[in-house]
Amino acid sequence: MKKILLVPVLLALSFSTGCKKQLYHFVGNVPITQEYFPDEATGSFSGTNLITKEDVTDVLNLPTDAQINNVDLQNTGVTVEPLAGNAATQVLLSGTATIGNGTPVPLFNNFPVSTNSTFTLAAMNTAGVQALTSQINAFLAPFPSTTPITIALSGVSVPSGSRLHVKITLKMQFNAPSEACIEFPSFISEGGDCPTP
Amino acid sequence: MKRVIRITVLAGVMASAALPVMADDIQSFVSKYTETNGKGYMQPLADAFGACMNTGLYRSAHVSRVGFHLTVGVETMTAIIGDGQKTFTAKTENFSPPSSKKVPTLFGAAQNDSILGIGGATYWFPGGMNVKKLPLLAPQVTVGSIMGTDLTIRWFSYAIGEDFGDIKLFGWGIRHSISQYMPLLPFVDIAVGYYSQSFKVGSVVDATATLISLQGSVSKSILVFYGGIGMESSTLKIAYAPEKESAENKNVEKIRFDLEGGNKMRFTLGAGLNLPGVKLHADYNISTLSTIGLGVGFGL
Repeated sequence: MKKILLVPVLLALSFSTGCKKQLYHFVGNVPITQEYFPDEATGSFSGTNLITKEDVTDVLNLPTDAQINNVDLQNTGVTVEPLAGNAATQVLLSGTATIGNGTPVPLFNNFPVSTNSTFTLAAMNTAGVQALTSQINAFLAPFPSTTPITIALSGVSVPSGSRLHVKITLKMQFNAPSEACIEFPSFISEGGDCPTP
Repeated sequence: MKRVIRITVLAGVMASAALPVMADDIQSFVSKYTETNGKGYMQPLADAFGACMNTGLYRSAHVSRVGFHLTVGVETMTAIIGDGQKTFTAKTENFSPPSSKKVPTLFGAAQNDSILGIGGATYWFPGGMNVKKLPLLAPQVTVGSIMGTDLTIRWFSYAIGEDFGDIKLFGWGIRHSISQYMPLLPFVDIAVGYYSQSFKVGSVVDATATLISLQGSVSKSILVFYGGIGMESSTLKIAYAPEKESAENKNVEKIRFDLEGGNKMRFTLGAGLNLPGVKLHADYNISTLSTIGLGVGFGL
């Protein structure tokens, strides 16, 4: 009888054991959201916001010991909400990215966005995107950079000269493809080989 | 008998302790997707989970007309994952140009995939866990019989910790002998059964399953051969956060959706050994996603 009682215990152990560290791949989301509140009687505005290392690391949703391969920009969305007294029906937006004290690199130019709407920017400047993602990657490197990125947003109202009083939300969605070694039963799942330490 | 029950429940809990870890890892995989692609990515998990839950609920069609019978045991249910479960067609969201691509599901290849867009943008699709099979294990008690009816219960509850919450399984089934009304079939047992189960792991996994089955069996000495036809359904509720909350990224709304298991009908073929005080059985369940059931029971 004692030997028979071992059967369920052995069955359970066969499921619980056989775990080994295996390599799996993930894609983390890195959403960077910035808000601007222009209130300009003449309709022309400019404003800046910073992206710091902490802005990126605080929102990264990956396993703790994940190794990030390379961060890429997936899309940039702009939402314009009219506030009290706004007369503009549209705003033409331009944006640049500056790494530290470097030269501003254009991200997008004169992109029309209607008030009370959300748009995904269809085409951004490739050099600007590369500069942006390069510094985001530097924030996540083993020896991370702390040089912030300055995003400068400027625009003019349509009709020209109409009062611009809106809330502009700029949301840049980055993807962080990564890999991590996770202990998992090998008879259930076949991950890759973990790098030898 | 108390010792038997204690060891059997412990076995089930030990094996299922890995489930919360898997549930937490699943969130890391799926969080890239919104509902649009999340459903396709997670559908194989719903199919496999539902198929497993409806496996191993009976090991013969024999139900005594009267008399006390108690069987306490452990059932293992394993879904075999085929190639059809490993890819789905995902669509890019908020991406230019809008595109679609065949990419891994949660059970698919453990490699990310990507599409290049305009102006240096890239859309990444997460890899899977390269799952070959999904096993579950559950303690099970069958007690009867009154007027050719018995009751099957699956139950355990275990607190894993603050991070994961509780594992809770509860299932019940009632079965009635039809062959008791057919005295011209002395060697064949026929029964009908209805089973309902729910399985939760914290706030990540919430599954329900239902099976209605027509069961038949033939016994010869200690051997029993059994089979059945069943109509089944299952649902898996999914909830996960697509982004991490922070001071800058507040009020992240969880993505929630329900998935229906793919199995609607199953054919069961199995065999068992009825030894004194011990019953062993194995069966194969043919359906959209097929499963293997193995079980051991102790009792009268």
